[in-house]
Amino acid sequence: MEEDTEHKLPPWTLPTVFVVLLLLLYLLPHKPTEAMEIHQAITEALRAGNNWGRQALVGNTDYPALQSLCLLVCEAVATPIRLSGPRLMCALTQAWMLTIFVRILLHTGHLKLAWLPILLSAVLPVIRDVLLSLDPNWIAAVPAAEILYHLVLWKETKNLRSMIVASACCGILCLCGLAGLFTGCATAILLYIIAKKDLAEQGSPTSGLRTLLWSTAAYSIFIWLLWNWLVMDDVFFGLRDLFARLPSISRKGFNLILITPNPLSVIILLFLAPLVILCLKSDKKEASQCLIVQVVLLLAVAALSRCIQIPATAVWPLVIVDILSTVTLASICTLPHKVSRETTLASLIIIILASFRIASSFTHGSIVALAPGGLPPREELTAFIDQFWPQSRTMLYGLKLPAAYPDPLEKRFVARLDFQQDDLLKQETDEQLHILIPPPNGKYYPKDNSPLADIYVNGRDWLILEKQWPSGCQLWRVVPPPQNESKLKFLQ
Amino acid sequence: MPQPPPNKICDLTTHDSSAPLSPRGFPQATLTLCAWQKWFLIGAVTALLLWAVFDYRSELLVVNFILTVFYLLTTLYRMLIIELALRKPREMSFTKAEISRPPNGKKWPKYMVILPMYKEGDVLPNLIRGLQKLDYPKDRLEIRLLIEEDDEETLAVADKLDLKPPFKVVRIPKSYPRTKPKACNVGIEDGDADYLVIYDAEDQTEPDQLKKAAHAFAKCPPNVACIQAKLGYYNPTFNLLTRCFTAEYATWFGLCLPGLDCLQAPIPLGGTSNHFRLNVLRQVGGWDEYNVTEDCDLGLRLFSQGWRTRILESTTWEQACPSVPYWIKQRSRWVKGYVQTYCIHTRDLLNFHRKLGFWNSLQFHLLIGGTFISQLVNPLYWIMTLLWLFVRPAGLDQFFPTSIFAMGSFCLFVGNFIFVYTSAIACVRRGVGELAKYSLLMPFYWMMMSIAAWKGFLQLFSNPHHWEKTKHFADPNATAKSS
Repeated sequence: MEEDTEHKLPPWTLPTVFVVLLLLLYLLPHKPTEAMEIHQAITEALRAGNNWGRQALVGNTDYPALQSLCLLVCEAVATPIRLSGPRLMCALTQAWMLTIFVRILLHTGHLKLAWLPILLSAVLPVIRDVLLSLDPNWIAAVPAAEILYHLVLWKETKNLRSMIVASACCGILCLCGLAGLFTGCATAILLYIIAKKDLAEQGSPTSGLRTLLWSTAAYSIFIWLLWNWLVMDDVFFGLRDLFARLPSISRKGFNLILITPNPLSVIILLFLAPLVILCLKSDKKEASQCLIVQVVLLLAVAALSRCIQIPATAVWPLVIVDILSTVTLASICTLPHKVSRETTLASLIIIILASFRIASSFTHGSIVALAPGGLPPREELTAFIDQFWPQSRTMLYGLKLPAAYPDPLEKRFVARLDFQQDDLLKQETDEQLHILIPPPNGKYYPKDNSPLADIYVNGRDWLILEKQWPSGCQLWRVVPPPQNESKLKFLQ
Repeated sequence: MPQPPPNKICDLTTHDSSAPLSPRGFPQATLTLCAWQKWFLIGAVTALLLWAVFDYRSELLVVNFILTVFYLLTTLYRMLIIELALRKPREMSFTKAEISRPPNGKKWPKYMVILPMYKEGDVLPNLIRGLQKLDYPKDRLEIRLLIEEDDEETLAVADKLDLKPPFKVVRIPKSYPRTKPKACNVGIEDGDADYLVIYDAEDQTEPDQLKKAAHAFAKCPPNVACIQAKLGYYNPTFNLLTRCFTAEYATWFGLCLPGLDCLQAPIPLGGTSNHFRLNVLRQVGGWDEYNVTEDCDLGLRLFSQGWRTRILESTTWEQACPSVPYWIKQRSRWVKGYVQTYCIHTRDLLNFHRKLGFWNSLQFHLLIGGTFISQLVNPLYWIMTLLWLFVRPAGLDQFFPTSIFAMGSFCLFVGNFIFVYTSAIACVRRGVGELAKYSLLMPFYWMMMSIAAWKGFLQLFSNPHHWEKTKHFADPNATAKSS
């Protein structure tokens, strides 16, 4: 019989757990990630009122708005008290996520197992490694964990509030990048199915549930599109980069990536097995169903991301949530007599240990990626330009490139999210400009269907290539020729 | 030993009073603004004008900052109320078994039902039929129809119906002011009952509401003077207006009032289905005859004198006004009344704050002041939002520096959604889930609310005591939902 231990404990228990975890996690030696560097560049630009900051905040799916906004808030809180905003953000989100799992275990009367999520996070290499990454995408872990908690509550109380909060969490997840979007939308659909079935069994009315449980996710998508329209004058701007990359996917390539062993797929596939058992046999089958759907979608998003060379935003934090959720569900569920919970839990721990032994043979490059390489150092670039054009500024397009040369005041570098030829030529009439274009390898912009890739290969009649670095980076000078005097056109 | 409160609580007068205090001692709405309020208003307007002349940019920036903070607080307060209403519902509910016997095993308490009516003869037969279904011992019940003595139309219908006890027709003598609260005060003068409830002419109440209220009073501590039952509409699907109106009522009675109940905050009473301890009602002086939302005023007066109000899980079904012009009239009266009530209770501001304490005072300002201020100011921000979205005029940015922009964006993108979403939640919880999708249209409904608010606000200065009577339509198709 489950009992509500949470309410028998002193009311300060969970806050204490949270604060202790927060302090510990803040003090851990986190490793910086590319995502954090880019989000920091975005927030720095936003604070400086830089236009690229606003564009980058909304106009992409790889470095989503919610992460940047939370980082902005954390930096605003942390800086006056001489703390690090990024570390505070990671510590807050990780501590919050772990506290939710502790809370689930306490709430369901498993006092002795309450330490399990924390212990697993500290001991198991993959969870520990991911926890140590200074990644703003940890923000996605909080709503994901809250969904599980509220599903557990719903199972017990059938209080509509649980479903409403879970649905709100789905809406928040939708703002956390592609992985969040897919899992958020799928979970919102599942919530509706679960709520409708349970309420119908009770004989309670179910009308309006669909509006109630789907509108948060729909609203999140709507405001993201609205922001795109407001900032970029294009409702679907944030998806353009993704759309431009999609044609490069072949089914064969996607399948190959899907089946190629990598830490993520190994872990995910290993965790599907216990989830399926939980889903079929336990009393927590609704939560297990949600997790199965999330796990499969995460696998697909991870494969897609690798396929089209975009970062697997928030995939790792969500996978960690799913691992901890599986363990938590296995700890609290009631299984048929023949299979005791202890046996399931023990086998699950064996699976976890085995999986991490396998996983440890892989490198975790996808978790902690350092700053983009292959670009000329800032000093070298400016020194080269200053030889002949000391007043010239360099245009940088996209997200990663401007983040590599942060200049919120636009003294030497002018950042733009999208390439607009007319604007560039108009600006060129006032000042001398250069453009830095990295090689079209899919890292900084899509290989195909991108004007930058086209410029890299074919140039333009108003551009002169001034230098190409060994890494392939090109520096072009903007020189619009007088009308009908283009040498390039003549040669063509 | 304290004297029992007198039964007689109002005088029949031949003229409107101009005294700021009621004969029963409480501040009444004869005076819209007291002296210091007038001077404060004049001073504030003058200062704003002068500031605008010298430096309108800094003025707009400061005003924008204040209004944005106000919106943010209102949004956060709304979130708190809704969260509490959902997390730990505190409405008093009773099972059929519980109300099958009198509270404390004694006799059922004496109950008085009052129904102020004016020119509502066409709905009277329906009303009587509904009241006859009330499940309460007839020897412990008195139902008073308060009809103005010159309302020949309603009196004629009442005579024709040949009403027998527990019904009683009380002719309200012609006296001033001629308002609903005046009729109520006269109507309860000679009554002998433990509890009293007021209903409107078109109300269709759940038959066991009186029993539930009697049990609620018995269960509550003695400082609970009022039990507010929930109100709902029986014609929600009549047209788009009634759908939105129903969604709004579902939010107010299904989420906001229970949330306020959780916070033990001052509760502005709804127009009907307020159950009172009759002696307490007389002790606090009954209703303010000059206030056009006398119910809201009474709720706050009870609170400021230490009495508390609780919410009862029982519904009275009313008719949602299906006509836009009549709806605007009704709403303008409500807003006018809220402004009146706000001004009355802040006449002695320091004493009021001392009585209520900081938190309750803040809630009063957010709830009563916040309601009409936001409705009046909203159009300004809608226009600015539309300009920002579609015209993007140069210079608008300077009034939205980072901090204001951040708060404003939160209110625009999150706050508005929360207000819309809570309507959807309320619809589902109140059993009118089919209206949840119409909650998405609430922003258009808010526009109408602002139009009505401005009408009411302007009328406050031109005709402060004019009572825009709610029109009740005798709709033969409207049927009350079964409880």
